Amino acid sequence: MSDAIVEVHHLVKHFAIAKGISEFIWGPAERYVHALDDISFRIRNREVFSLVGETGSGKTTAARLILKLMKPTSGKIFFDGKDIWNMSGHEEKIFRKDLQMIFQDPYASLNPRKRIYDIVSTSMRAQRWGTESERREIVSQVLEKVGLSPPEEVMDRYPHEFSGGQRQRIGIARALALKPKFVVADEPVSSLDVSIQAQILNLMINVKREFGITCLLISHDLAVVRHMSDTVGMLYAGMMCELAACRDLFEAPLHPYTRALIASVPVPDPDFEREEVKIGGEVPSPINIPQGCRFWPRCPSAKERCRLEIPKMIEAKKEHFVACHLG
Amino acid sequence: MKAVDGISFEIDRGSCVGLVGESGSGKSVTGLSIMRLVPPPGRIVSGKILLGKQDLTELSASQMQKVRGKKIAISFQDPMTYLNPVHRVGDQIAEAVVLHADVGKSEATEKAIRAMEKVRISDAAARAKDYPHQMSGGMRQRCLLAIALSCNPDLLIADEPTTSVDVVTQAAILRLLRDVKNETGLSVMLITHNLGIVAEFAQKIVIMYAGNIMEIGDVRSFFHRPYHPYTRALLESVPRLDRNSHTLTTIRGVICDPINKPHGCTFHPRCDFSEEICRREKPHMIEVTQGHLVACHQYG
Amino acid sequence: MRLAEFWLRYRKSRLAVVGAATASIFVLISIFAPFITPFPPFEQHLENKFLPPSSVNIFGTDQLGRDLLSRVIFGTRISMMIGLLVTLLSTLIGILVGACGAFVGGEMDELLMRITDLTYCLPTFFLILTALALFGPNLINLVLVMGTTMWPVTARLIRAEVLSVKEKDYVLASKVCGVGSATILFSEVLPNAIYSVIVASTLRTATAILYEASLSFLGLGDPSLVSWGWIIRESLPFIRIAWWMPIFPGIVLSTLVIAINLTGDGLNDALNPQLKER
Repeated sequence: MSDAIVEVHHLVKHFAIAKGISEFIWGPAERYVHALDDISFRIRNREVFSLVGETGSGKTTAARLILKLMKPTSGKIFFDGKDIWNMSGHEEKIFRKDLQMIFQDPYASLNPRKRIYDIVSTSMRAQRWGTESERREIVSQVLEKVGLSPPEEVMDRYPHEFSGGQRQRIGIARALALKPKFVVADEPVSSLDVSIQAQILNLMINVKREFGITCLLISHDLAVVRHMSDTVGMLYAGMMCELAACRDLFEAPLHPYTRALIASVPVPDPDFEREEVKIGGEVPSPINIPQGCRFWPRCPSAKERCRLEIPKMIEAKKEHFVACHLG
Repeated sequence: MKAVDGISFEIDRGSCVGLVGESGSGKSVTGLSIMRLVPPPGRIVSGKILLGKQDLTELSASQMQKVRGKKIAISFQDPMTYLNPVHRVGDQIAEAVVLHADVGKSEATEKAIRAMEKVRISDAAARAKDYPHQMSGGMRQRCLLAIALSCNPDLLIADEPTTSVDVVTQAAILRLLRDVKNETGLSVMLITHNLGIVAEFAQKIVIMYAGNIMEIGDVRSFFHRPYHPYTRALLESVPRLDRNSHTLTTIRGVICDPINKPHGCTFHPRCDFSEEICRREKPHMIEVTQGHLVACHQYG
Repeated sequence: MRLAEFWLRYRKSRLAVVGAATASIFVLISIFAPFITPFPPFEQHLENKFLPPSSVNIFGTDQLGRDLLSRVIFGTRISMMIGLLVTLLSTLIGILVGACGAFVGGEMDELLMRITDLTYCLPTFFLILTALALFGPNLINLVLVMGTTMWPVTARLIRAEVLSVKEKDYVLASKVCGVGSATILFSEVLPNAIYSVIVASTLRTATAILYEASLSFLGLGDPSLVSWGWIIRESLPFIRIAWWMPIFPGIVLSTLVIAINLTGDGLNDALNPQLKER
């Protein structure tokens, strides 16, 4: 229990569809977007935990909730043993220092009107940390660390002068400035060219090792997840369907969705043989959730029970959890 | 600025060519050029585009318009941009049919529904009355393909057909294309940056970098014995689902500036094997083995 | 966007540069008016009345023998002042209302937007007429009425921009770092949201100047001030014998308004690519 840096207990997030004056006139909203429904997991210290899912699975919502950017409908989130919604002002300040984020789109994550120095030192200014010269020193060091040099020159420039890969490095530098304990990386390489992805992934691995950072990786790219993760949690339509160590999940997936997903990812080898798993249909709309197991309309092995009862997460094998009636 | 600089390749009837490249490689411009849809001020400066025996660069604008859609069709990356949000989907497909098949409106609507069935949209008659925003990303992409395939073209240029959809839908759409290709003898030019997709789907691979072709090869030959340093580095820098964690090779530097391209071989500043000649002279395409060509001085 | 880059973009349109230059000249004229007028604008020389344009009186003289050029130059001051004050006031109110509504969201946003809609429905011109009739035709009243009725356009513009900017990743990044809401609004959001407002404000200056001239023309302006509208109004009975009296102030007024419009268009084209980039 104590080696978990982040714990999520029965997290639920629903977004109401109508709000404001409409709600005042017509009464409270009757329709909700079910972004997340009762997910729980633990992230161990210094590991890379991946939340995998397609669009609409709720993975981005989960990340935003952990970062305290929005309030959960119900459920609790613990960081370093403290409930994040029950912290003192001082604890909150430490929380903001220790928890950082890397964003998906390098073209949207840097304020186009600020200099690189201002961007990378955002945390330091918010924390009122250090003198001007101390800040410059740190910014210089961290820019050097992410491979942008010479740092003095880089610091005074503007984001539009840099390429996508370089901007992503700047984003990473911003996250690392005050040596956080935990970094959420939201699709960190999805928007980058293939040849640049490798550079950024290698950088992330090195930095994680050197700084001893715990990482929550959000991605839909299974190959990247396989490459980077220690533990993987698979989300489907707001519910967690499988949770296991990386190797176990990829070598012996239990949930039908996980199996279908892994079988659908194209591999750059024309002779690669594998069983074709065809599933039709679409991810359900988060407004009209099917009853019972959310995957049953598309599941090749669905039974009557799946339609009626929501499956609970059970430990099917050692440290390998799955939410499926067939396990 | 030369987006595409002296490229040549062939697409055999009934087969799929995968045109692979990163941003700035010129792959999308190539697709648009074949359709002669390059937006001004861009234009085709020289070269030939032969469809069967006919050189498309010699056709007038109205003649080209007859070719587009009927003989060559194109499907784009982002369905939401290419579908008119204020018209029903069925009407948009029917519009394409009317333009090329010289039929009445009701018959065109029939054909539109049939085109939607062909791209495996379930309950097509009802779906035809939907507006684009009412459909999911995967369905919209299928609608774009329905528009492209509605007049039974000889060649389909699919520009990143699966980038905006999830993996499972991607697999389904690729399966669909493969089946249509096998059933009707459609030729496909698949433009993408995803090496996995072309490995599973294409018969021939053309890899481009900064407006030039680096390597052309049969799919097996290409993946099992790549020649060009760029190809090799690319294949080794991609994380793979079929292998456990391995250190990824990186290609140093950044993709070159399209306006200030390097002299000689455009890849030489990032190449681990570059020599003096690479800086001076642009390499020609050389056939290293049967059907496998490389543009690299190492083999010249 | 840095100044140098902005200027490079702006000067692509020659008309825009001409517009900006002309408007700048007007600004200079209004500042240095007392030093450049050949004659004091109120000085009457009844023996010189209705003189046509000559080398001494470049615009001719009016019915009281006053030099028209000097009067027109002083009129520039009035127009400039109205234009700038009204723009300042309306833009400030607009930004406050729009930005707060968009940033805070929820019910506050709804409330502020309904206030904006109501104000938007008010017919500015008739309101001004009413206010002037009730409170007297002086400059302050004019500026107040125009400033407090012309802000809805700005409010809507800035609201749209703030709504789109506040969801951007770089704003979220600042939130994650623990930056406070107010700081985020002023340091991250507003600087990026301000471009379209700049263009709208520029064009509003022209509108305010025209309103003031129209009011003075109708006789509702401040008679103690030398406004172009007033000059034109005074010239109406004498139009057949002194064609120069309405013509020159009219040309000058049109030139200024066109110049401001060209500048606004130029700003739009120069700043718009930036908008697209974002």
